[in-house]
Amino acid sequence: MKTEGRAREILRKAIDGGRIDDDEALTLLREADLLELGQAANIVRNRLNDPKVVTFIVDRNINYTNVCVYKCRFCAFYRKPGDPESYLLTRDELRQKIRETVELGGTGVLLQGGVHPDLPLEYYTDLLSWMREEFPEVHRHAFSPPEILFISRMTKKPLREVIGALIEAGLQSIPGGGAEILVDEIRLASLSYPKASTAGWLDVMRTGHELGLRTTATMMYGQGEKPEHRIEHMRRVRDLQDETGGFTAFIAWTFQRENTEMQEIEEEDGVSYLRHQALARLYMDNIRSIQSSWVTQGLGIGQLALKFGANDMGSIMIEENVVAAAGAENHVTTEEMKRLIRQSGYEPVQRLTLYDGWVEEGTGHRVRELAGAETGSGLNLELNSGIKRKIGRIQS
Amino acid sequence: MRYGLIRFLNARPLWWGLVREPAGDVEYQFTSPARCSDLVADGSVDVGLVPAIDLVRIPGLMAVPGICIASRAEVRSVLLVTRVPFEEIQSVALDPASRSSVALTRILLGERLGRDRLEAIRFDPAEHGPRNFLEGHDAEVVIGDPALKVRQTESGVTAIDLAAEWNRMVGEPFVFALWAGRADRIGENGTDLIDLLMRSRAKGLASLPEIVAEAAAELGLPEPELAEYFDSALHYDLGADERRALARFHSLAIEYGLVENPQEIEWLS
Ligand code: SF4
Repeated sequence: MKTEGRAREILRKAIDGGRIDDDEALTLLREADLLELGQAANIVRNRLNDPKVVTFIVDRNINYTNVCVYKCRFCAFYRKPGDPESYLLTRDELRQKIRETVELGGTGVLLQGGVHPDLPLEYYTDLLSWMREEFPEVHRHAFSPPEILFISRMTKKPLREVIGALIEAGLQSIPGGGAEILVDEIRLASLSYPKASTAGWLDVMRTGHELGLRTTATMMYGQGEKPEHRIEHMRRVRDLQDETGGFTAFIAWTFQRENTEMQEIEEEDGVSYLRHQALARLYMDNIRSIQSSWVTQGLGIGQLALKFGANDMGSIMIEENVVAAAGAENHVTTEEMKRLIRQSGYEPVQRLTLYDGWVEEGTGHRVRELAGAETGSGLNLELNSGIKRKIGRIQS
Repeated sequence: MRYGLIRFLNARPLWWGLVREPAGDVEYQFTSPARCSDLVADGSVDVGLVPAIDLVRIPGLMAVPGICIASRAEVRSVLLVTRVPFEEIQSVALDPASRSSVALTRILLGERLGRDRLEAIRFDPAEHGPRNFLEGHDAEVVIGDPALKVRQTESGVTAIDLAAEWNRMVGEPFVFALWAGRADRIGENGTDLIDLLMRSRAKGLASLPEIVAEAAAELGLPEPELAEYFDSALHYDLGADERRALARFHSLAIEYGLVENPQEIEWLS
């Protein structure tokens, strides 16, 4: 009874706009009633995002290679260089995949791979500028921190220079992959430390933000770490967000074990997922969007997650290899996605990669409302609220 | 095709049809007039609504003939709001979202008070966000939709309609903005683009009742007042008068040192 009272107090504080600390987060994770936790997350979600709208994106996750120099224990996707099952997509294959994406109404691609040992910096820059040339309208969300760190080590060029070169070539945002749990002790145990230490991952994001890019942040949990580690992870992300404001969204998912080396680990269940996602909504008071990971949780929990703090359903997943390799194969059509969102009681809005615009129903036109559209007039008028409502302003 | 658009009411008839056209690969960015012309200048959009002054500022532009946003009367789209008599204005807060109005303000103050007096007036960019109107300045330039509300929300201040002042001074309409794009982006299919934009305008003008109803709800202003705004204040064709007016405005702006490296206007065909 007493502890329940404490969890309630913390929830009330979060609802009132207070920031919760790590101890409080731990209390919530352990003791809060599931529905009360969800309700608090829902209230905060409705304060930061339009209560009537759930967004999603039509894009394609293109894994340009599965060759990887690392061997993360939770990964079922990588192949060693030279392995008969290894691949590196050709230009033609890439062109084909991007073309299909456009035909399906897609607005962007997420390009990420294993960490291939033999590709020079020019490979990445050529890829980006080729895409910009051939598909200028397709957003280039590319290369997660492990790939960027590897390029920097390989070329002995500082991160700032590498990311600068990628931006020059057409990079528009960085996906938040490769974070898993940002605690070095855990990274060492899962063998993900060599690809990116906690500091390394954060450095890529900090540098990207400083150079004007927006990025996402992710967490993959349930690989045997303790709840304290998950909270530490969230703290590292929240701290960086305080510093730069560059994260658009936080996406948490659970470790999927099939075909990985970690058969001893029990997968997290749906209730655990909802708790963690609700906690993330409350804890990450400075990140506007929380994405529901229906890809790992299934569509049912994915929908429920909308009542536990999520405001975005992520991608329809035209293609996704990494999680599919580990036994979670999920994708939906745009129409199915809209129906799922409607049936959850929200208006579906197809958003763009940076959460700064949407695709108009009917015409399929992409619309962006740029920050700075308001005038400097001191009359402080609320203009176009009906339109701004749709997505909300990107954080500035 | 990527378009830069402005949500201000006076611009809506121009893009009303465009955004309803079931065309394939199309992207719009809605933003302020100043930012819109930056997007055109740096190639972020292919064509956009560009403030009249920037037509002679940005190199490599092509302007779309036949269409513009202009006024021959009180338009309330550019107001100089002051709380002191005109002659006593010492400091003016300018709206950084607008460029033509900034130029127009300087020119009109210079012409009315004498160019030497202009030197003594302090011009500052108005701060963004909520603050007290006219705090720290004698006058402030208010443009676009907020200007439509000035009469209702402020008392004890005088609002000078700068476009009307311009009409009186030069006897020509004032041209606010035109469609323009970078020559390398729009030069090739010029006639298609002109057709499309003409169709869009036709549809917009035919849909004024809808535009007015939507805007009245958004701005909280009475429909008749907004209908009147379109009926008597604004017009959308660029004819001989408008071209003369543009030339006059540009040469004054150059005289006043408001354009560093003046460009010839090239027209799309
Ligand atoms: S998770 Fe990424 S870095 Fe680790 S082995 Fe898999 S592909 Fe390589």
